[in-house]
Amino acid sequence: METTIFHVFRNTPLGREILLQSLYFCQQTSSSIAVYIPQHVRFLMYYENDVVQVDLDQSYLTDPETAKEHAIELALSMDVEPRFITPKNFTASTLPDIPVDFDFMCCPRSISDLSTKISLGHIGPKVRRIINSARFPILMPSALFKEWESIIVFFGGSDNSIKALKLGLRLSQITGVPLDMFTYSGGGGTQKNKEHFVEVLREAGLEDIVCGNEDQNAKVREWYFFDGGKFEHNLYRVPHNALAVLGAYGHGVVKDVLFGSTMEMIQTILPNTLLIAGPNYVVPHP
Amino acid sequence: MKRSLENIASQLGLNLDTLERWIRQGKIPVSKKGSMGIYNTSELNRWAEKQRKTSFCSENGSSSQDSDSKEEGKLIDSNSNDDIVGLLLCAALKNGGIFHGVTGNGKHGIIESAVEHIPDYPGKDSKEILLQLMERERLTSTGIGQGVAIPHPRNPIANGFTEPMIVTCFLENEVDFDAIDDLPVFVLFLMLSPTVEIHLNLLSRLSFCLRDRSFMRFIRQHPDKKSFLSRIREMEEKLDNPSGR
Amino acid sequence: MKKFISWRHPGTISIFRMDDRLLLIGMGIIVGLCSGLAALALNHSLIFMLEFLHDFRHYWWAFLLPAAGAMCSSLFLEKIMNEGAGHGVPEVIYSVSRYGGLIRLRSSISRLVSSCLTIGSGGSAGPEAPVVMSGSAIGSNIAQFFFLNDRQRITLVGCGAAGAVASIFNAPLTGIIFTMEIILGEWSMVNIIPIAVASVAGAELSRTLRGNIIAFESSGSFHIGHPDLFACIGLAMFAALASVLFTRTLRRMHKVSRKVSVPFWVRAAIGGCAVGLLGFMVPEVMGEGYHAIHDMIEGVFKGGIGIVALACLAKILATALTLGWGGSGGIFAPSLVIGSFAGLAYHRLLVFLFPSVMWVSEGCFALLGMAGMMSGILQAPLTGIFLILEITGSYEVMLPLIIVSALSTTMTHYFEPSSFYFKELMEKGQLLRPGTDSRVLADISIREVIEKDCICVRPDMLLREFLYTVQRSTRNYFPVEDQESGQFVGMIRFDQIKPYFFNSVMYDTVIVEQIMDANPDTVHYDDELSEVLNKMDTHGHFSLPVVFNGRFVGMVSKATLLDKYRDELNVQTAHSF
Repeated sequence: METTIFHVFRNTPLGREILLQSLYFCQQTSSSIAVYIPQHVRFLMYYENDVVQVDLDQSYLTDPETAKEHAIELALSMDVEPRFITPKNFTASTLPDIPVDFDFMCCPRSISDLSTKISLGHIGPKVRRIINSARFPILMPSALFKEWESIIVFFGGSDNSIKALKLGLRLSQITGVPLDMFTYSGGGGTQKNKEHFVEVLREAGLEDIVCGNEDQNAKVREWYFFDGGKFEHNLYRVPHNALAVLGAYGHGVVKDVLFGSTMEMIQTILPNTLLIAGPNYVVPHP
Repeated sequence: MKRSLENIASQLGLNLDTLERWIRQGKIPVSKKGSMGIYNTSELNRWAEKQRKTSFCSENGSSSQDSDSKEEGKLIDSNSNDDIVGLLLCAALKNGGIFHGVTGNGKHGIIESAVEHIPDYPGKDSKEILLQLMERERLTSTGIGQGVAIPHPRNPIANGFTEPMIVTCFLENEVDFDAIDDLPVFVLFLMLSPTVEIHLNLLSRLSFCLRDRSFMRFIRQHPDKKSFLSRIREMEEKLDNPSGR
Repeated sequence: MKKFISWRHPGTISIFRMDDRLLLIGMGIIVGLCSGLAALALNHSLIFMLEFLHDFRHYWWAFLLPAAGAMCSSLFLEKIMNEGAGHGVPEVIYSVSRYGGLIRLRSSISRLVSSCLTIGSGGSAGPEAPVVMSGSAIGSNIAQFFFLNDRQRITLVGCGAAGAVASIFNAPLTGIIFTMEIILGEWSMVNIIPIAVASVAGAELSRTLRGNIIAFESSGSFHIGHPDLFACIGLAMFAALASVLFTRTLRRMHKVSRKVSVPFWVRAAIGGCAVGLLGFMVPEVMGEGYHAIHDMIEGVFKGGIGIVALACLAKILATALTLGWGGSGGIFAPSLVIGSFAGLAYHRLLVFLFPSVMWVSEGCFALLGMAGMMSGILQAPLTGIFLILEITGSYEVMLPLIIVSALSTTMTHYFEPSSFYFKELMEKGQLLRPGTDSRVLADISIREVIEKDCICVRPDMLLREFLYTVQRSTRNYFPVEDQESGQFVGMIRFDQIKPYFFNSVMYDTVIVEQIMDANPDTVHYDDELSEVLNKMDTHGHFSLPVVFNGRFVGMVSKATLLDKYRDELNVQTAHSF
C-alpha cells in the first residue's frame, strides 16, 4: 500500500538532518514524501475535532530561494522523488490550510519555538496538539540523522499500545527490519506477570504473531520483559539504532498538556528516533 | 450495536471514506469509537431507506454473506467461487450427461430421442421442451457446422429449473440436420439453461471449444464420458486463464 | 462492550444520536449566554474606553489617539495572538462551509480586544463583526470540547453568532435571521430552533444586565404618507449608490495600503492618523458612530444638506482608512451610520426640491436609509429589515422599510454581484453553501469515488493477449504499467482499439505499447472533484486515471460520480434523520 509522509522543510542544517531522517523512513517503508516549504510563518491543520494553528519558528523561512533546491537535492540523493505541497485554501490571506490526509508526519520535537529548545524531555505544545489530534503517527526524529536497523515497540498492555504494536508489525513487515518488544510491568505492588500481557495479546488476536506457534515463526525477534528495576534504567537496553514505536495517551484533566508518564519518560530518556501513535491514530485497514 | 466501520460500510454499500466523513459530519446516525461504529439498527435502517433506498439489514454480521452464497448455490453446487465461474461448462455437461449411440429418425426423431435423455428435474415437461426445441429449429437450424448441432429452446426453461445442463448425444449414424454447411451431424449438445445470461455464457464457452481443431478431431472419435469431461475441463481452464497466469 | 459514554461525549448517548435536538437546544442556551456575555463585555469596555479618552479629545494631539489604537490592535493581533488579520465574518463562513465550523479558540478573544482598541481610540469601525467572530468561536469550541460532530458544531457556531448579535443590539430576531441568512446560508428546522433559543438567551442576558433598552428609539411616531412611499424608491437608489461606493472604497483602500511597504503596525498607525485628522473636521466619523445615529433619528442633527453629504462621504473614507490600513473591526455599525447620513441627505434634498409637500420627519428617512444601506452592503434584505425594526422599535415604517430594503438589495446587485462578506470567498471559489453543486463536489474526495477494479496490462503484451484481458474485464479502460518498476506509462481505451479488433493479422503483430495513449490526462488524490470534472469536460473524457507517485491507483468516472453525487446531495439536503 502506498503511504505518504508529510514533512515541513526547514532550510537549515538542522532541517537537513530532519529531512534526511524522513527520507530514510521513506526509503525503508517505500513511502513517498510530501514536502511543504513554508511561505508563511503559520499554517492551520484541520483535524476531525480540532483545528491546530502551527506557528513556525522564523528559521523555517530561511533563504526561501534555495529551499526547494536543497530539498530536491537531498531527496534525490536518497532516491526518493519528493512532491511539494502548495496550499490551495487559505483561512486568511497569510494563513494557509494544510491538508491532513497523510499516513505519517515528521515533526521535530518543537516546531514553534526556537530550535535551541529542541532537546530531550521537551516536546513543544503544538507538537503535542498535533499528536493528540492526528489520525496518523508522528515521526519524531533524533537530532542527528541516524539509520535505524530494528524497530522496538513499547508495549504496556493498553489499547493504544496494541495499536502501536500493530503499527510496528506493519512497519517491520514492509521494511523487513526485525521487530523487538519492550515491556515494563510496573514497579512496586502493581506488578503484573508476563501471562497478563500474553492474555492481552491473545484478546487482540496477536498472540500467535508475537509469540509464534507451530505454523508460523514469531514476528517479534525479542521481547524485552522487565518486572524489576526502574523503568528508566531498563531503557538502557533499548538498542541504539532502533526506531522506537509507542502509543501516546494522556489521562485526566492534564491530557492535553502531558501524555502518560511512560511516554514522557521515554521521550525524556531515549534519544532514538520515535514514532508516536496518538490517541486518535487509526490502524489503517489493509 | 457495535460493529467495525468496514462492516457497516459494506452493508450500506458505501465507501469507507464516505462513511467516515458522514459520521464526522453528522449525516448518518452512527457514532464512532476508534475503528468501531456504534448505532441503533432500526434507526440506521430507517435512515438507509430514506436516503439511499438500500436497506441496511442486519441482525448478525453474516446475513449478507448468507444470501450471497444462496444465490451462488442456485447456479451450481460448489464450494469455492472459482469453480462456479470457471467451470460452468464442465458442470453443465456433467449435469446433462453424455450418451453414446443415440438413434433417431431424421432431425425430429433425433431431437425427440435426445429429449428423452434429459435427466429428471422437478417439474420436467418433456413435451413442452420438445415443442420449444422444434420451434427454435424452425427459425434456423442449430446445426452450426462441422457435424455439430446445439439444439436449445429460445426462452429459458421455467418451472423449478435451476441448474443449467447440456445433454451430449453422440449419434449412432450421422443425420442430416439442415446445418449451415450442409454436413450431416454426428453430435448433439442439447442445451437447457435457467437464464439467458447462463445460456449465452455456456454457448460462448462451448463454441470456444468447438473452434479448436484438435478438439473437433477428438470428439469425432466419440470419446467416453471421463476423457471427454477431462478434456473439456482442460479447455475451460485455458479459457479462464489465457496467459497461464 | 466497554462503557465509554461520559459527560464529555454527549453526542454518543443513544437518545441523542437519534435525535439531538434537545441536546442542541441545551447547548444553544449555554453558547448563547457565553457569546452574549462576550458581546456585553466588548460593549462595556468600549464605553469605558470612550469615557476614559473623552478628556483628551480636545487636545491638538488627539488625532494620534486612533493611530495608537490601531497600532496596538494590529500588534496585538499579529504578535500576541498570532492571528492573520481580517474582520472575521468571512472566516466564520469559510470554516462553516469547509471545515464543519472548526474555529480556533484564540479567535474568541482576539477580535474582541483588538477591535476594542481600534474603536475605543476613535477608529471608525463596528464592534459587531468581532462579536460575531468571537461568539462563533465560543460555540465552535464548546462543540469541540464535547466532541460533537460537524453538523452539531455548525449549529452551535450559528448559536454563538446569533447570541452575540442578539445581545449587542438587544434584537433576538435579528440574531436569528442574520445567522441564517449570512453565516449558515440554509433554513432548516433542526438549526432554527437551537439558534432561536440561543438568540433569545443572548438578548435576555443583555436585558438583565443592561436593561431593556431599544438602541435608537425615536420619541415621536412616524406617519407615512403616499408621497413618502414614492420617495422611498429614490432613497433606495441613494442607499444603493452609497453602499456600492462604500464597498468599492473599502476594497480599493485595501489594495492601496498593500502597496505601501512599511511594517504592518506602522501602516495601521498611518491609517489611524488619517482618521484622527478627518475627525477634526467631521467629528461624527469617529468611533462606531451610534451617537450620530441617535441624533439623526431624533431629528436633532444640525447641519444642512452639504454638511450631511460631506459627513456621509467622510464616514466612508474614515472606515476605509481604519479597516483598509490594518485596524480591526466590522462594517456593520459604519454602514448604519452611512445609511442614516444618506437618508438624511436625501430628506434634505427632497425638502429643498419640493418644499410644499408634507414629508414625514427626517428621522424616518435616516432610519430607512440605514435599512437600505444594510441590505445593500450585506445583500441580505431580511437582516436589514429586522435589524432596523428591532433597534428602532418603529413598526409603523414596515412598508417603506421593505420597499427600500428590497430595492436597494436589487440595485446594488447590479454593481456588486456578491455581498461584502461573500465577495472574497466567491473570488476564491470558497463560498460553499449547503446543497449547492460546489459544496457537494467539495465534500466528496477522490478517494471516495475511485474505482480500483481495473486490470493492468504490460506495455510488451501482444494484442492477442490483451484481447483476452479485455474479455475478462468489466471496464473499458486499461492502465498500462511497467512490469519492473510498476510505473504508470499509459492508458488504453477500449474504443481506441476497435479498428484492430476484427483483424486477426494484427493479433500477433501489434503490442500494447504501440496502441496505448502514452500521455493521458491524469488526476491526483489531492485534486478537488470540481477540477477533475473540469478536466473531463474540457477534453471530453468520461473517465480519468488517478496516478499517485507515478503509480496507477484507480479510475474516476462520471458514472460513479453521479451515484455518489446523488447520495451526497440526498444526505446533505435531508435535515433530520
